[in-house]
Amino acid sequence: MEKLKFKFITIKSKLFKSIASVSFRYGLIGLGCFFGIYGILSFPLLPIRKQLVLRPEFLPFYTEIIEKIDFLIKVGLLQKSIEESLFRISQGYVIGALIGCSLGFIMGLYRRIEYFLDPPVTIIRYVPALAWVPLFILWFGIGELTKVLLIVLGVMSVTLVGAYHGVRDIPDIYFKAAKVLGANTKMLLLKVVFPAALPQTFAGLRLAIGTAWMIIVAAEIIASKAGLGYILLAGRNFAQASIIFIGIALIGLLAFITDRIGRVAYMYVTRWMKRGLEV
Amino acid sequence: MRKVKLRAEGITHMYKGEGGREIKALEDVTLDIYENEFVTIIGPSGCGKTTFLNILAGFIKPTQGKVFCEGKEVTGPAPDRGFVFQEDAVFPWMTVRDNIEFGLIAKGIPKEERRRISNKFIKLVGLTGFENAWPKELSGGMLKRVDIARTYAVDPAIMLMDEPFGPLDAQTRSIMQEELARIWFEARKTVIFVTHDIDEAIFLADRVVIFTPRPGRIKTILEVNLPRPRVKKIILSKEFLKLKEKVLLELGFI
Repeated sequence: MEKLKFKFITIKSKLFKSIASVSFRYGLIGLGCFFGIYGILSFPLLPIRKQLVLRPEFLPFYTEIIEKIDFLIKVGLLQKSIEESLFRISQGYVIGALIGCSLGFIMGLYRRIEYFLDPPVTIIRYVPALAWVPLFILWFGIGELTKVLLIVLGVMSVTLVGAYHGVRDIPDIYFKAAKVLGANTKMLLLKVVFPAALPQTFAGLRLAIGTAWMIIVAAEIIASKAGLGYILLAGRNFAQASIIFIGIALIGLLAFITDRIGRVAYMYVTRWMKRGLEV
Repeated sequence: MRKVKLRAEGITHMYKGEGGREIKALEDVTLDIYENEFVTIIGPSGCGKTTFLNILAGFIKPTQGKVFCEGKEVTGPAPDRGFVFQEDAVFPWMTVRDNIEFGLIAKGIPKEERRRISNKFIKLVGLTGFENAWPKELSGGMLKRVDIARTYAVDPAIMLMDEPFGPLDAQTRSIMQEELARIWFEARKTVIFVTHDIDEAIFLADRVVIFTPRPGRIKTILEVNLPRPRVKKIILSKEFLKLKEKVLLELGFI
């Protein structure tokens, strides 16, 4: 009877895969519709275009956008911007995540440290990362350091909460079980606390990807010579909606890809978790 | 004379209840558990039987009295007293094998030896083929098998079981009782098993310890001399029913 149940579960996981592919197809159709509608609205020969505000300067057609992409690639700004933004983000993300997760783990594990650190950390956490911009510019100028530090701060704030709750919410029963099985502190940390805290920690890490993108774009709009935020700024300065659209699309695309990577990582570290089946 | 594995000496336990009132959960419980003996503890709910087991495990420090395991005084939880929990305590982030080898790693046993021991207990509890399954893929009964195998693998001096089959459905519960009787018959251990199920208490036990309502004291100890290995059919035998009648009388049900 129990074997039968096991078989049923493998069938369930196959079902899950097929649902995943359905979601992929639906996603593709959704994306197609989005670009299709934009195409129709921005189509140069659309008769009602003039009556509406659909002026080509505001809503450039794809040909115009492709031209501008070509231009941006030729002058090298596109590649350079992607490279620089990704570099800033990865620097800030890694440092911020390391600080955030370590602080979160320590606060989750030790009550006294939690009581001691909670008020200052909470205050820093709730001040929006971008509110530090003036101070950071005053302290560190408008160079790389300011941008990276802003990401560090934002990423740290988000990952800290995930890691803290990951540790704090581990049911007592697992500690009891580990103790009667003879686990020492090292085993308790490595084999119980750490894996049990991973799901929430990784949820925090994934959320922080979004935070990092939000901050990098804002920071680059303030001051930079290249970067995705810079492309947006350049588009505005030259009154070129097509360049702004390219910037937005690039940010969306890169954010989407990095989020997918985060999602895959999350699904991997939580592969042992029982999940509900989506209907 | 049989060897005493575990001795509880004059255990009295008080705790603060609602409004700070002192509640006496246990009163002067003294009990000797002999080597390779299967003892079940039964009593009305709230009689402190689970508290008693938690004291034996070292999770709770008694107000008065001492516990000795193989002559050594108990000061806290340790692997010489294995514990099978009522709740699901199998680590969900480890495969069946890793769960069973957890206590062996803690003991510092080398890898090949670990593999040999885990294979032995996986086979004993009937989980062959599920070594690499995640706990989420197992049913409630199978999870209990993992928990039992995991506790067995450490080879504790004594195994404490706190209503381990309580959360299971009636049918699985019945299967697991028979399975535990078989496992125990094949690999003898000293076991203290807390339950509120009378059939379960008699079916598994060499001795049934009956507790009084709160504060819990030992009311009677019944010897169960039913033949082993035991199969479920035995609960319809005359001897079994006679024992059951005694337990029901002692508990005040009839």
